[in-house]
Amino acid sequence: MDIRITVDGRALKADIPPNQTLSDFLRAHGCWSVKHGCETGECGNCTVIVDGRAVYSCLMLAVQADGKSVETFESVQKRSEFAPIQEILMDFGDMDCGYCIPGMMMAMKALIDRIPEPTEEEVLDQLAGTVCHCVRSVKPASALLEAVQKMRGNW
Amino acid sequence: MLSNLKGIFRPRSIPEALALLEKNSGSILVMAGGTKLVKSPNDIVQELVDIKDLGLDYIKEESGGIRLGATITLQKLVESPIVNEVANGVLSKAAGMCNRSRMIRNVSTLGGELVTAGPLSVLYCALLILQAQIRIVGGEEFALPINIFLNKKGLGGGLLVETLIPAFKETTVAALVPIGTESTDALACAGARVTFQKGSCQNVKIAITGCEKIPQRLHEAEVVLEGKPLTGPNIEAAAETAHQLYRPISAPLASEEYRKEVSRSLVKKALVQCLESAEDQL
Ligand SMILES: Cc1cc2nc3c(=O)[nH]c(=O)nc-3n(C[C@H](O)[C@H](O)[C@H](O)COP(=O)(O)OP(=O)(O)OC[C@H]3O[C@@H](n4cnc5c(N)ncnc54)[C@H](O)[C@@H]3O)c2cc1C
Ligand code: FES
Ligand code: FES
Repeated sequence: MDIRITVDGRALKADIPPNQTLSDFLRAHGCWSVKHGCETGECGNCTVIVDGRAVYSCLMLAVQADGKSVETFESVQKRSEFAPIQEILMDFGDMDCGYCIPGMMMAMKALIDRIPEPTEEEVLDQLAGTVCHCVRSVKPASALLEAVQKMRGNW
Repeated sequence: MLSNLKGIFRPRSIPEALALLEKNSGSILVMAGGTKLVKSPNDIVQELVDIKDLGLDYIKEESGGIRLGATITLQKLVESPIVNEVANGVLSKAAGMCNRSRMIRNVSTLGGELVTAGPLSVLYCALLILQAQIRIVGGEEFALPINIFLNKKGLGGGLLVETLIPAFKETTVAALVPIGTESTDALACAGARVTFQKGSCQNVKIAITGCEKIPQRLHEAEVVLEGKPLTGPNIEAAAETAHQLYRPISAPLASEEYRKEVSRSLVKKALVQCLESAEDQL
């Protein structure tokens, strides 16, 4: 099937099998930050932003993103204003491998794009669908809130 | 997954979608958010009808009530000021409890959830006490009261297009009280809705999840309160009747005995919350 998707600002056109997931499509187009985790909608390692909303790209067909704009961690990793959040996520609880970071980062970005001053409850709600396979603990919501404050100067 | 999928149609109108479903019945399925379908091991399905372009992602407030299009996402129900205003926001709360992950709620739809949820569904419980109606189009177009829709569940190849929440009196209050919402659906959840008329209860609706097929309406417990004031003793009596009537199941995550044991206090809390809301609002 023919689709057109804007990925991190790049307009992509492709002929794909109808059952190709968005995560497979993105990885096939060089977005290696989009991870294969559980593949069943439980870990959030594959989280990307589609038209402003964070979604699991493993549970979405690429065809469903036809005509839409997709943001992956590739688009934010080099932007210094996001560094405080990335640092907090990496520092927290001796994170080991970093596999979960891109997904968590995209979930956080979708939240603060929509709600520039989220409450702790909103941060926890947003991150409830993301799991760190190494640490498996509660996310540092209060630390993330501090990072959001820090970011705001550079927003 | 969906290993034999050969194509996805994206119709722009309901008649077009219905024609596709009729022509290819047997090997074709409706796709809304796709959160359930995409990983389905189904190898019979060869085609999908994506209904996201049918213009069914709406929340409309009208004099008769609120109309919710089938492809409105669960997260939009959580966020909608209109839905939050209705009956103390029980529908928004229930939509939020369908799935802990916002990443799923951002995509999964009210229609998809109505078709797929099970006996623990807090959403079903909320829709039962709100007396929702489900509009379906197929060979003909018809609306079913939610209890009949849930009991039948089959759409006969039709499309679920809309949910109607009937308008409420200003003196109507409602509450949902779940227990155990840490990971998935609540282990059990009681819902209550009461309209106050000159200090006494009218149009009482009480329901509880965790039963064989769908949440159970507790009619005799409703009768206990009908026409009476919502006092402590009346609440106790209704909760006791609810406890007696409740026929819970043993799976998943909680035993029949556990559910039975907590039912009294869940119904009581739901009614107390209705009373507190009434004291605040009325
Ligand atoms: C990891 C995970 C955990 C989950 N946990 C829970 C949970 O705890 N509680 C819970 O209730 N649900 C749970 N779900 C289910 C989830 O909420 C459903 O996947 C979702 O509601 C389905 O909505 P959808 O729009 O994505 O439907 P789709 O996946 O698009 O469709 C699901 C089914 O409904 C049919 N359908 C959809 N819309 C219509 C319509 N308008 N008319 C006719 N048929 C239609 C489709 O043909 C299909 O058979 C979970 C899902 C996942 C992936
Ligand atoms: S890989 Fe998509 S949610 Fe786990
Ligand atoms: S650090 Fe390894 S998964 Fe989170």
